[in-house]
Amino acid sequence: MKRLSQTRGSALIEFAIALAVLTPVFVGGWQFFEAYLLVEDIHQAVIEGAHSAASLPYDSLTETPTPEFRHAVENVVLRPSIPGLRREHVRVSMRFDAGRPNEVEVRVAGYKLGLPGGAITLDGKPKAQYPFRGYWSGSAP
Amino acid sequence: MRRNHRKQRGIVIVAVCLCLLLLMAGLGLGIDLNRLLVAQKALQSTAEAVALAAVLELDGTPNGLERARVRSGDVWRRHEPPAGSTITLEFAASASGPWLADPLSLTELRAARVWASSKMPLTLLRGVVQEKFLPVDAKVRAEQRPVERVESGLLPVAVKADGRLLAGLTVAAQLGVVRQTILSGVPFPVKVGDRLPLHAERESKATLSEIIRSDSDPTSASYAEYAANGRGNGRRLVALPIVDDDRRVTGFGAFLLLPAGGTELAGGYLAGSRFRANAASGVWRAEVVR
Repeated sequence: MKRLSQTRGSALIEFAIALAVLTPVFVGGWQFFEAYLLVEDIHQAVIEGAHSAASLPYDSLTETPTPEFRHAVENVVLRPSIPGLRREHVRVSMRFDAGRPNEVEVRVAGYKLGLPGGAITLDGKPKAQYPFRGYWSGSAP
Repeated sequence: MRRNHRKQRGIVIVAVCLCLLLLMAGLGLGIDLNRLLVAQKALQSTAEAVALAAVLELDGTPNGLERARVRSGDVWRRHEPPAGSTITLEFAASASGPWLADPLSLTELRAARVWASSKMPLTLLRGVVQEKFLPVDAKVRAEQRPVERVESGLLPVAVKADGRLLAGLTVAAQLGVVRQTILSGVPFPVKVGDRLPLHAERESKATLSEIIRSDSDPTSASYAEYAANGRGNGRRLVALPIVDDDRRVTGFGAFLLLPAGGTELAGGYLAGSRFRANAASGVWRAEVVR
């Protein structure tokens, strides 16, 4: 009888230890999985932003886009499903070739992604580049 | 009884180890599958960029085909595909094919197809599938498509069927507004059948000269010369509505603003290109076919 109650006690201790090991592994794994899904969401947003930027009228004669152009692209990238992503995290740049808009790039910079054990900063990635295929109606600066 | 208890001891440890193993395997599978999806999406995005770059150069000339090959190669390299990735570029008159890597007839060439393939190195799945790499593929078609209406950014100038310019297409007739509208484009959509308000011709002509001067080739006297020189940045090649006597839009075209005044119809206008579309008239856009 005494031996049986001892067994019960040790089973409880073993269960507690197992719970202490498995719970952080499970929770950590789940958080990693959620972080992956979030990065995937950001990647999709960046691709859609770059697609949109490539077909919007580009109203600058230089590689520096106008605030109106940048805001229009940022509005496509920003979405409620990506918590904490703000305008300052979205970088929009236009590369010129032969003196005209050639390729637009949208990327995320300075966005902190929470992970178990700390946060990582997405700097320059995800990014997407597409050839410019909109109207070029730049006004002289 | 004692033997049974002895047997039970350690069973939780075994169960925990099994659970840990399953959890780690599940996590590894999830991570590798996710990496596979990310690699697939990146390759798809790259293939789309390559196909669009090729389509933007097709103007029905051998030079255009060569530019399409060079530019698509540049875009592929700039996207930094993983080592060992390959790409195949083919052309056709439309997105339904037939596809040829070296087309003989260029007159109707408006579409490009890209096959990109890559291999993604496996990390945690390597032990399960006994492969070091998994293949990732992307197949994209893009083509020049006619646009029914120009949403915004159109020059506030129209051309009559006899080639005469009608300038100042804007909602306001004030001179400063006309100049700004010419430089930044009209903020409203224009489509075939619209009747256009046209004002302030004198101011418009001065501003059109400003646009000609901002082209890196401001002197070529015809589109043929402009395209052959290949140094223009496309500022002088503008999309203009063609109007009838009632100032109603009957179509669109790519017009070269001539240094001596007036315009020359170059063909179809391809948004984003410094050359004409592979068409006699209209406004065209490079689009991915989904």
